[in-house]
Amino acid sequence: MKQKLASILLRRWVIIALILIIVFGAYVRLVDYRWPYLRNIDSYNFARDIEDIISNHGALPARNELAQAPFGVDRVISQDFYVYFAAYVYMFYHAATGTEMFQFLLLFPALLGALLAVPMYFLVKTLYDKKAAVMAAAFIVFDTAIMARTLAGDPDSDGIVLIMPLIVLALYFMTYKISSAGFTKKTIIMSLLTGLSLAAWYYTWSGYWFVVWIITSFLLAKIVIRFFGTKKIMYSIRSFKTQIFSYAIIIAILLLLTVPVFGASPIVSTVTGPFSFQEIKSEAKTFPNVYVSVAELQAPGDAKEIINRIGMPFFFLVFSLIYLLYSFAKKRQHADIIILLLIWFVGPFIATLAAIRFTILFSAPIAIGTGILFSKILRLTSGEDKSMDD
Amino acid sequence: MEAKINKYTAVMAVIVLAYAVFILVFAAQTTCGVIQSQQWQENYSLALYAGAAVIIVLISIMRASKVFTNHELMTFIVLLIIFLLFVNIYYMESLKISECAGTVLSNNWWEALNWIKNNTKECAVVATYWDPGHFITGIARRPVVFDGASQGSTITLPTNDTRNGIVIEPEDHGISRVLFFKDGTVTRARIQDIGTTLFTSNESLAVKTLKDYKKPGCDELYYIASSDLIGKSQWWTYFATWNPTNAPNYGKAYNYVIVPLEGAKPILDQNAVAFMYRFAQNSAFVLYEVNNTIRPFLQQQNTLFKVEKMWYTDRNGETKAYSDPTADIKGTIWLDSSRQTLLFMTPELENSMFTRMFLFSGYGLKNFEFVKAWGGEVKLFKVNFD
Repeated sequence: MKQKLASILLRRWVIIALILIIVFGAYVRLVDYRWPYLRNIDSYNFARDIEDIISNHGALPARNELAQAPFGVDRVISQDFYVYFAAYVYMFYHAATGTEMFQFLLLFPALLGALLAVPMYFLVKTLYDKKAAVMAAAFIVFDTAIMARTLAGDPDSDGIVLIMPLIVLALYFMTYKISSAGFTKKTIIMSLLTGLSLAAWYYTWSGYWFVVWIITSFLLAKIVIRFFGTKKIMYSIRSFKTQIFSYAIIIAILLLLTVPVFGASPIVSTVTGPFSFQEIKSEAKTFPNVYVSVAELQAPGDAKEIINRIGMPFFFLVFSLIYLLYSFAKKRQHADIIILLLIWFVGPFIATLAAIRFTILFSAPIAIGTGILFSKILRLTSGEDKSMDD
Repeated sequence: MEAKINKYTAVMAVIVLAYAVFILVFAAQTTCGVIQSQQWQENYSLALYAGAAVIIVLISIMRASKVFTNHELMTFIVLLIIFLLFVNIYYMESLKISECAGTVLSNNWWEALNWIKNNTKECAVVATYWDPGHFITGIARRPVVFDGASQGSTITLPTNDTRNGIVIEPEDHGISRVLFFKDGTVTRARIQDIGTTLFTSNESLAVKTLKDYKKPGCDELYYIASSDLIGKSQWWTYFATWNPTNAPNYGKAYNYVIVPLEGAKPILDQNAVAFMYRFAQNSAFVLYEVNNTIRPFLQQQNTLFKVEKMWYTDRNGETKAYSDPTADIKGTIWLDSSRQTLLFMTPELENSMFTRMFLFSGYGLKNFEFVKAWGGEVKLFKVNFD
């Protein structure tokens, strides 16, 4: 019996751990919900859209008669992936269990928050190891900034906006790893899947561009690093030809699924995204800019405030980067995760200097860094690794 | 785990797992009040660290019995430390957020919006600031002027005016009406329209502005004045006075000063009671109550200045107004009936439509008919256009 238990733990510990993380992640978000209404203002915007889709035979009505009185507004195809996704999940869930809308709206954001564990696990497993992946999954699900935005009864878009980039990046790095081994049918399938997820992400959130930038910057950084090692530009590019081809498929799928609907906007907003968001509070216009009064957009941050807000996990990420850079310097390993963490750290850092609320963007790199740091310590204590540079 | 697992480590792993699950479940069996209490936190820490200590003792015994290697011993200890860090940094903080975060919506708003849903025409527009827009469309299912997704939107209407381009029309209190004329239409910002209806003391201007938002063929439009707009006055006054030619100070912000009661003390030789409402170290409003009448002052350092106007409810429950045009401090004090909170407003705000609707429940207004209030938080008015 004990041997059997040992065997199950040995083979299934990841699944057991992930199930526990997801169950507790959802449970903590749901605990002590005691109101007959939803939690936030924007919750009702999404709740209404979801209800409208359901009552309108699976599609948003062509007009929004309740907005912008007296005329209402035409609905244009927009970044509505989330409300469609939620509405269809509800329809299936309701058909299967009979759950009512209000109960579903309590559960759904909590579940999305808890399910962050899954893409985070695959992302970190692909780039480092299983132990780091499981721990990163736990840290992202229970990250306090993310917790506050994915509580039960708050079906705002935060949950989907947090989980989608993780899915895209997990798929991308799995694709990258497969394509590094050579060009196969699996490379094409994974590239197609990544492209599809990226397009879905475009249909989810206007700030989608940061994922395109991460992917592009990562690939460019790899080529540049190779160039510094070889001093041969064409050779450096050729040595990443399968990854570049895979990248081309991903971007082609994105454009194929978005340009026919949105015109040149996906291209323009991807390029201008990192620069345009800083103008969000500009008042040099004909009419008042209401964004100047939106509290969460107002306060710019500085390095000290960023550290204060994040607390101890900030230093876990820094220590993790120090270890990874040391390991890279000694044995030329972990380059992929170093590049990803640096890109994912610098981007939000700049964004947070513009508005402190963007500290939420640190949650994923911090969870990854913390998971890697603790995993490394475990590897050293368990004897798997003999030294810091292993 | 990649490390080898024998039956002893498996048993130990199960014990650790059981401990971890117990600790996580135990913490989740709370409410906001409980989880924040010192006593509960002490008990929880005791369970957390006592359990960890027991596990360390157990694995130390196993190490002494040579059942465990040093690596296994260290691995369990590191795992425990990681778990303790996780519980303290992530899990407990998450639980506190979940249990104590509360809601933006309140019971007063919930009841008000359900009342609107059940008692107004479906075509009735509910006008107010943009923040509760999604509440109104989501719960009351009534049209709104704007909401969190359309704060910056404009309204374009046909006009007989032949002007072209931007025209700025000044109104009372420095209100600017930015009008953009083009091809027989005029465009205005919704935020400036609603800001104007809150800030102006000209009821006719408010009615004229709101008339453009009435649904065609519908004779009902309602207006909500709610307590959150007191704190947001700096923004609705700013947008009402916003003028694109005034860069970099585009608009002017005015605030209601809300001051809680610090204390009250009797002045025996004058048979009076002095109520102190301090808002800075050397500044406070002082209200002297003598024979059921109150006189307001602003105390700075040790000097008292008279305040021009005041509204309050006396001991008999009667609303009383006080005015002294010779006073040094221009503005009005509004005292809540419990006397726990004082509200000071500058002359620009004292006659604003919001002040008259929210603080005086529409007293003296002709076209804004008070309908109903919910807990002093939400006040609903029907706008009569006749």
